[in-house]
Amino acid sequence: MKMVVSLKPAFKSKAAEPVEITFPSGLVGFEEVKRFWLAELPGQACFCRLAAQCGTFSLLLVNPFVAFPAYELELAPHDTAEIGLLAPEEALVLVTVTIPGGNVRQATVNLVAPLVINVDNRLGRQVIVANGPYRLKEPLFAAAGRARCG
Amino acid sequence: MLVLTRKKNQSIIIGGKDSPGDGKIEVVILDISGETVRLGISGPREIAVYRKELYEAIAEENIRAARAAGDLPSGLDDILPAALELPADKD
Repeated sequence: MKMVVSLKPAFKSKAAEPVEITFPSGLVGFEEVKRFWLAELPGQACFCRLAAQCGTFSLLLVNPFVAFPAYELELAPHDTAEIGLLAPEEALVLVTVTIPGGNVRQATVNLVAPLVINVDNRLGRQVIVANGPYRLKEPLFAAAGRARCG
Repeated sequence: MLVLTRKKNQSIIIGGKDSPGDGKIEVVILDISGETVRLGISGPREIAVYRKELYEAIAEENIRAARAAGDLPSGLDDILPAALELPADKD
């Protein structure tokens, strides 16, 4: 099954409590870490934080469709099968934010390897968009200056 | 590491059981040109195949993005919402 995910609303969870998310294959380079907490950042609807339950690291994530409305990814069968994804509506898509040297203005997002989360069963997978036009280090601010959230 | 010598149009089978289509992965040498080899890969749809360089680049980017568990960059609260023109929390 091919599945195309495009423009999505921001994370709609009203719960202030972190949500437990399991990545059966871990993240690329962190394959051994499977269990995470996903929490919204207070007052920042587009951002959230994915923290390893073992406490070793966390990732700042952003909804890519906010800054890049034309962003689109095609999910392959090996992606949808692992997280039991049946319809694009069940998918929450988030991308990692890298902040070089702590300089927030230089922040980039990784549009090649988004995290796709099945909101029904709370399983996630880092998908690799191998043949798309996207970059590993796409400047967030160049796009964000034109974007709106919500 | 197992080392096999193959010629053009020859292939190898990885994994799987006896019956056809049952988890087997076939890698066929499609073309050889100088130092470049073209491979054809067929196997179960659930098996992902990537170039190793891409996988390594993503792993590096994940490591760069990873931060200490409780750490949020200073200035994030001011700069990112302003740049994204985030609406105030409502409901």
